Amino acid sequence: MKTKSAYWITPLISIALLSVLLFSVACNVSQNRDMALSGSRDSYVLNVYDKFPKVPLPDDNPLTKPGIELGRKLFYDPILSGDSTQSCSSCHMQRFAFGDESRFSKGMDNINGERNSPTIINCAWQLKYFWDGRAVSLEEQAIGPVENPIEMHASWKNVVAKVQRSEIYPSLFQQAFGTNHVTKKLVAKAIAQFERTLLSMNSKYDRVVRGEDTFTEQELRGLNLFFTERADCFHCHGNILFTDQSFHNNGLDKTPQDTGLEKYTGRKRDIGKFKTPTLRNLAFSAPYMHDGRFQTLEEVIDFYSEGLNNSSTIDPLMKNVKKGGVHLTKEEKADLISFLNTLNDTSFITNPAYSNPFENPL
Amino acid sequence: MKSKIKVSIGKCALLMFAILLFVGCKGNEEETDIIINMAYSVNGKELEVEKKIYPTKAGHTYEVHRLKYYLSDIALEDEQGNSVLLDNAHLFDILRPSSNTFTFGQIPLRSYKKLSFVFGLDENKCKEGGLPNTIENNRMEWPVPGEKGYHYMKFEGKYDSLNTGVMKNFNLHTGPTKNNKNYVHISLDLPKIKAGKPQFKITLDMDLDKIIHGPNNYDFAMFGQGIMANQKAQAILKQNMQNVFTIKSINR
Repeated sequence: MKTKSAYWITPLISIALLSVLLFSVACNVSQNRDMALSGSRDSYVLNVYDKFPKVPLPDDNPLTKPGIELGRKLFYDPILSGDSTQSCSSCHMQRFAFGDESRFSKGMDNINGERNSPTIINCAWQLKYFWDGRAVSLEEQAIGPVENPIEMHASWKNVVAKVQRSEIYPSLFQQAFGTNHVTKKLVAKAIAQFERTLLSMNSKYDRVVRGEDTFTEQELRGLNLFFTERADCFHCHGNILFTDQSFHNNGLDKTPQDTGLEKYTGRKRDIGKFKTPTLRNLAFSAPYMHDGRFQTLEEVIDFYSEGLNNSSTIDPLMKNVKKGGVHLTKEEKADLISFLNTLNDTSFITNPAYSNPFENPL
Repeated sequence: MKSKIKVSIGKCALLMFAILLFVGCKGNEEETDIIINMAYSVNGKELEVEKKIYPTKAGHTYEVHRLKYYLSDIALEDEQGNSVLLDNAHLFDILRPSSNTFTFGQIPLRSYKKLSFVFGLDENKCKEGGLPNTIENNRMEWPVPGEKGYHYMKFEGKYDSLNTGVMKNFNLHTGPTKNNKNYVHISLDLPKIKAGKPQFKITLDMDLDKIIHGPNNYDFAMFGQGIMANQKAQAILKQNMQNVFTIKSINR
């Protein structure tokens, strides 16, 4: 019996050793994966449906619940302005898709800005910020307006000191970033985290894409105009973000007074180029264009239909500029507007998670 | 009994070593890095974007502003006819230098006789969701209802209509017009040279003049400024794309 059992020992021990080896490798991988996923119990994952590309999140500013809540407070807190009367939300109001119904927003000293406040919609995917793209991250974008004399007219040194002295913020910074020492960088990071959560993906268009709704005949006609070279909107305003995030001179002026991208690059060929805005939530974000010159969608469509202006830096995508535009019929214009209205998402402008925490604490 | 257990443990150790050796060892073949580099020219001279005006045989002049395009199923073929896939799909952009040079690691160190690729995307890739869902691929979407997929190429600029001094815009956007297979299989012979270590660089040249002139003369004015719905224009460009790419140089 003892002799027979010896013959089984070799394969049994082999199997056991191999199993231990494989198990320890798998277990290690699993543990590492679980740690990477949880990292912290405060990690926040954006709820995005699969048509949207992967969100490009910065490694040095992951989304956390305390970070987002801190950012939300700071976004709505006038503590960031010189006389503590103006916040980011003074010019970026939720009910206007985080834009402004005024053509030019007024800053702390009641001075008009030079451009219409851009909306903050799905900005987590954006590659550049401001109409002229001078900021390459949300963190960088958050820094500029605080010290801009026609916006919040503050100094970061004073803002940081005010925030540090406040009763509520040091402990919130501790929760969000592991330190109660407030810095400009951490303020910007918190605001950026909050802004990354401002997602709009529940318009009728989104519901149709997800198979939850259907377009009307008119909306479908408008869609066909939008996504073909007939109205040719999609080359700049295509894909699920409804912006190509590039910079174009779209024919607003023969001689652009606001040179746009050129102010940042210094290149003459960039004169009159501005960042393509998203077409989501147009019902809430009038007026339109970088200078808010158009009050209604009808005016915008008329412009692209018959009102284009040629210039030396007109974008090659403006194929019909010589004729003044794409020359849509009255019916086509109505169809196009009908389609554009499917991009409106009322849940975005009413979501309490995006609202003023000092008025609507969650 | 103790000695038998010792022998058994010894055999187990040998067996484990053999298993690990088998699993860990990928074979005797050496590997190297292959760098693909794309250069751009017009009729043999380096492309100058938004600077130089180029002539066409149809009597126009044109300047290049933007060019983005996919090459897919990029592969090397060795002397035995075996194919080594380098990339499923790569988006080139003349305005994004990093997209025009890329490295593939761990490529078998062999003698290769051909470099092949598809200009554009075949029907397996050129469909909704056929490519990874990235911002860059999203920007290349071909959203025409009933067609879907991606642009193969976006070649954009301005042309002077028959020396009138009046500049018009052109958009040579190729893709699956009316679901036609407008992509092109291209195979380029490589000079007989064995891939070297630690890296091996193949520089291709894309001659934009051939897009306009070879073998068909493309007339900007004939087809208008947008051709996504024009299969005749697409077919002409499909033929021309056969001759656009050449091997410029190979370096160890």
